[in-house]
Amino acid sequence: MEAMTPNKWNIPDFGFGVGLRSVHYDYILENNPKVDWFEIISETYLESGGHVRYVLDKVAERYPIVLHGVSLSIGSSDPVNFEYLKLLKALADRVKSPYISDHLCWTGVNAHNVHDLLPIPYTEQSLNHIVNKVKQVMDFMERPLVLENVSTYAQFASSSMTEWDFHARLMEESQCGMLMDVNNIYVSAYNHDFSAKEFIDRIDPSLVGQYHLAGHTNKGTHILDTHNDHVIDAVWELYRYAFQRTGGRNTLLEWDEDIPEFDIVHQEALKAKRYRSEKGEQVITPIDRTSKHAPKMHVTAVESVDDTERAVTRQYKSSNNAL
Amino acid sequence: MPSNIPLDTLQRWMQSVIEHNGNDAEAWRSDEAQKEIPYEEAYLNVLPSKTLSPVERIAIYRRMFVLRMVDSMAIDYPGVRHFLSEEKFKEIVLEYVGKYPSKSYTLNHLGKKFPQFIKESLLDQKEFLYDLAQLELALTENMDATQSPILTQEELSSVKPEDWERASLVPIAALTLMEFVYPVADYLRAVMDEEPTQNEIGIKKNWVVVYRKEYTTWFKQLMHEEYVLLNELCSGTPLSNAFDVLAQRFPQRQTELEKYVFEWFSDWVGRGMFSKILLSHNTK
Repeated sequence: MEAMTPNKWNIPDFGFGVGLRSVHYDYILENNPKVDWFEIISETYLESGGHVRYVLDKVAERYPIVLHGVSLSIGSSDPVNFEYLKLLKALADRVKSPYISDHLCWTGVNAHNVHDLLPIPYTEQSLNHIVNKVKQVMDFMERPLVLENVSTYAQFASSSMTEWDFHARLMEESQCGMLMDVNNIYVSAYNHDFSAKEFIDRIDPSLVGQYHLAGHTNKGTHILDTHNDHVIDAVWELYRYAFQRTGGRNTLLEWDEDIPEFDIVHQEALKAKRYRSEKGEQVITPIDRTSKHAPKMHVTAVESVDDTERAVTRQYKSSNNAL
Repeated sequence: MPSNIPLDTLQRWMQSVIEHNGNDAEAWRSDEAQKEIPYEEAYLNVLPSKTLSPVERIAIYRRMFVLRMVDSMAIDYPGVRHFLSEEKFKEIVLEYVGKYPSKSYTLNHLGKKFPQFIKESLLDQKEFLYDLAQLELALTENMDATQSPILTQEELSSVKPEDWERASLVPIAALTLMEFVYPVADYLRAVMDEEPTQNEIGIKKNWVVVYRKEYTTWFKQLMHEEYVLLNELCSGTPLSNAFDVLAQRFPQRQTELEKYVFEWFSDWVGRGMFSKILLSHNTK
């Protein structure tokens, strides 16, 4: 049963997507797997004129694509970087991304980029600053912006509101949407000892534009958002809980470390179908967790012709995904 | 007090702690960090969790920063990493990102100044490492270069014999010619092939072309004479003038070179190194 709350922007529900990663390029181009849509890490494709651009154009011919960025740094005290936005808009136009997403975080200040999704203090000052930046970004991009809640490992005493109240107010005041990463809610709830369901309950379902799901690593003292494994059952149940409030939303499975073969990633994404139902339906994990990994395209490829020449392939930089 | 910390101050503080190339205590007590927020105040502003202290919580970000920087640079500079060893490479990378922090939206640009950093360093055999880093940077940059149309055999055949004298060639965008003092192409090939490598590398001039064919980046060693001719052609020198330059540079090998030139030219065209052919109005 779905509580069909339409999203505010009429973003189409493409279904169950997978993050496009270079280790799967050859498989996707050769096999045309029946994937509903792909999400791309925007920064990987912004200026490349090489193989990744070629692959993107081919994939865009066959599948819906949505841009997911990691360097918007909307929470940084730095001003909006319009040079970056120009590239982003050109890419969004090129692949016809109906909306764009990034993270409610900052990645650096004074023009630095530490390539991580850093926590912001949830204060009135931060809120006003980010609302202003979000409006500038949406005006420039001319398409909806949905911001993902990130996994965090630190909180600030200077915060005057909860993360969910901050996100809710940001959406109310800026008209942006939320990419609800259910795994990130679970991770942060564990790390900061709050109720994941309370977070979800506070968010207006009509402002949720998309879902993310991923695996993580529980270190005991804290959880790291590593995107290196299957989604755990508790996160699936949170997805079911959240989905019952929103109904159809694009749902995407992220897998960025120890990436297995494409079918395994895709099957994990399709598991989400089973959780778009009421609690009680038995869910059987069909995936062999010992399955072999994807071909190691991310190891420098070597083609020997003679001793004077070699071919090289850029390794996959999972770190570009700023988990 | 913590509630009054401005956003930019807090962010400059946190960034300085994350980027600091020392242990956690040194990072929190560094001049850069304390210039923004004094240690005691900063400690009060980062809340502990049930299991982690404020320092331990920020340390998670510090560790991930190191991993990201080192992993990214190891991908771009496998040869330099191999030569230096993993531990030394990590040390050098952290010095490097301290001096040249990322200011790009992508980690693919992180290593752009690494050859220059090596040149300015006090590393043993830095001249060799500088050459090696330049080759590795060229390979990385080649992968993102614009895709050019490739000169076809039909286009070549369409040039009339009498026009060849005034013909010049335009290289593809994804092509770079490089001249090195140290044998870096041999070294990188050995690293890629997991062959034994030496710790002391002597001078041995070598010439390399980095190019892309069908979206795959290649590096190929060239004979010196081959490099000279290809370099002339890629600089826009008309074919006949380029052959003259070659003959003047290597007069004692003129007969021998005449035989090679055709082979080289066929090879370059076959590898897709040229984008188009231009016919100038002036003959030499």
